[in-house]
Amino acid sequence: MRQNLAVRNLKAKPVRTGILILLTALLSLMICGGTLLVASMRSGLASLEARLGADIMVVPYEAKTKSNLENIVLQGNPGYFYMPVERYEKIASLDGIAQISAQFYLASASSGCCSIPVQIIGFDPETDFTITPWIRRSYAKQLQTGDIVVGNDLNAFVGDTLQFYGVNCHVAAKLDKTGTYYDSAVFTSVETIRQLIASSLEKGMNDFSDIDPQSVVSTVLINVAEGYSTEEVMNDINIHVKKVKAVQTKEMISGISASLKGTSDLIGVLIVVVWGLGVVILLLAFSMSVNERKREFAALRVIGASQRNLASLVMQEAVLSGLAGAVCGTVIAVMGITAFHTAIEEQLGLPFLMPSLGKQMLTSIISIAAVLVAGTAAAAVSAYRISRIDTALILRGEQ
Amino acid sequence: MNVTTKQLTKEFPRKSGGSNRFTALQPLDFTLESGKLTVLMGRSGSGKSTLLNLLAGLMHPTAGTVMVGETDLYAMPDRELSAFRNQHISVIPQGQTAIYSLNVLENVLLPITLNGTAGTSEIAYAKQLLEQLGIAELADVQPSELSGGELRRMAIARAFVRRPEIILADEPTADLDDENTKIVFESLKSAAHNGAAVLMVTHENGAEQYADRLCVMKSGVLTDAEE
Amino acid sequence: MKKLTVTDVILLVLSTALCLGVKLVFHACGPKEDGSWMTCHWAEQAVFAVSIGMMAIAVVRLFLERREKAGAALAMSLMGVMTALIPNVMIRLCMMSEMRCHAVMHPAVVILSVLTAIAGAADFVLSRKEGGK
Repeated sequence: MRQNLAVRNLKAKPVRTGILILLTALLSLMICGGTLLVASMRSGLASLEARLGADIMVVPYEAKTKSNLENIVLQGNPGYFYMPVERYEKIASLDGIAQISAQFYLASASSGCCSIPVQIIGFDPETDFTITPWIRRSYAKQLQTGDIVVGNDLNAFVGDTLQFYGVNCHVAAKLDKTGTYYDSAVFTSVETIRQLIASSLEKGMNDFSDIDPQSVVSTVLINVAEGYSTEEVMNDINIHVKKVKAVQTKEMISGISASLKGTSDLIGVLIVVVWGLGVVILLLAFSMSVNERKREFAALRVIGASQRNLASLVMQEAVLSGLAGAVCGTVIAVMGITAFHTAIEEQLGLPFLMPSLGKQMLTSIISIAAVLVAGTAAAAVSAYRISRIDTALILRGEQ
Repeated sequence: MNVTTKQLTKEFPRKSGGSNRFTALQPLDFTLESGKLTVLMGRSGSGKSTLLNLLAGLMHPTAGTVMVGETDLYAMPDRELSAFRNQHISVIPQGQTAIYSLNVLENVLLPITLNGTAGTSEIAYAKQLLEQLGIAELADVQPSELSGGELRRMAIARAFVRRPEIILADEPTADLDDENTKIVFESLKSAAHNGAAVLMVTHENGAEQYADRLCVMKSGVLTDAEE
Repeated sequence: MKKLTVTDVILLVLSTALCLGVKLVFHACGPKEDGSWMTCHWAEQAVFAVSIGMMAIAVVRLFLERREKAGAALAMSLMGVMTALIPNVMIRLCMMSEMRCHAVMHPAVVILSVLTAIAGAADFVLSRKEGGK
């Protein structure tokens, strides 16, 4: 019944209870949502680093204008550029290179159901060290000519046939989500992409009209050998190979790290502000709620409720409303971010990868616990005060 | 059970502060006898309510003791004292003391449900009390819809529901019309004759005729009224 | 009109939000450059059509007796389930999931229609419980 009385008190004042629940929901929404957003951006960045997977990226000089390269690699805007294969060979002959592999870019023309072009990335299975390990997780076999592997965000499934520049391609696998632009790209082996490039040239749909698809590459990825510094090798390439630009991948994503830091700082400040305000409002709300019921608490004392009983009644009301609010807020945060993660990713313009279900659960539980702690702490002040009321004085004065 | 006080004294600090103190109750040796309705009269501010609160265990005395039967009220820690009050002492305080989230019947049963659950016989008794006090039809109504007099009668039913051995009523008829005043006086009287020790603080003229013992309080000093 | 219950309001608000929202707020991708529509547009149209029906039922319900109301709520619940299945299950959406129809319309439609389905089913179950009393 005593627990029941707390429930009855909450039900008897639906507006006050509603405000308490709303407030605690807001607190848990902020902390759970904010934490998940930051965690998602962090794992997105980690995922991007893993996908880039190379120390140095070399692109033709025309593409070195940072915007062009970042557009493709970081923002995921489809694009392409080429350089003669001789430059690749020249780079490969330099010292300090442990692993080297070329990649080939092509953007699909608007075709099929949707007008948005898709980035197609070709890799050389013989030398590749960045994409293959990732594909292995979804597809163990060797890619045949005409096979493609699609990113997680593409609305295509294993067994589907997609047409690019009139060439039918068979979807052999769908990749795990990475939260980066790679999720909306299509991957294929060097033979297939050369076919596609040739076909795009034939149809006059490639901006580069005078290239020979058999003797061009788009980028060169390099892992530096032990005993050499990345900087050294990069400078070496920039000095000795003409018309290319070597960049450290670490530097490429420094912009992303910076905006990630900015965004997460902003979220942190927001959480602190909302919590600061929220806790003050909770303090006031409980204090008002207890003050206007002083006579009721005095009456309970008269009937034989101990100081502890009164304090526990206040605490129960706080825990019940706090729990309801915290669970609501957390569910809204998790569901909202899960449902709209793609829209959020677009808005942020940062790689965004939701943490695992287990981590989401953990974040939720911690958020609920944090709100409960804040709520009960705010209520504890009022609970302590009400347990110390002078019953006789309250009953006597009509205050 | 009798309630016995020994050199019971209550002083309050003056609002203005300092060492200046105001004595609400002069040292008092007094026994509230079971089986009797004791009526306590006196002007407001004479210390009547202070005495009642002291007897109820709601206000720590400055000096002296209150014994209820063999139990020294103020020697107990709060939890035991509260449980003891719940079991043995019923107080009908001044003013409104309803719990507004519960309906009338639930309010009446609250002394029982506070630490347990009400059985069918207890619920039946609560309904019977409401019947006696003329508010049986209000059992399912929320207190916010009741008049002052009805709330007062609800508080009286709540005080009776545990069939307490000690009943302390502070102006229990303040909001009632003549007819209901009579009902309350008679209820208190019959509770006394069933063995309870009953103290009623009142201004009401005509209360004297119900009194088994009539006392008067004046400036913190209690005396038996002369017949 | 009888006194409004909580589920009355919830069902009306959700179906109205779905109906107006799918056209005004969380609509699908725009037309292609040549003016033709992608398939997601037809999913949007289908959701719009069904949600007009749901909104109409939600309004008519207000004037019905309790039992009929519960039946209407059950119908809305089933329509909610169907609506949730329209985008990408019954009508396939666009190629890439970062496109608007996937990123915005799909989750919004699913959330609103599933909530409608839950509210409708809850109203139906509650009415059965009341009836059992």
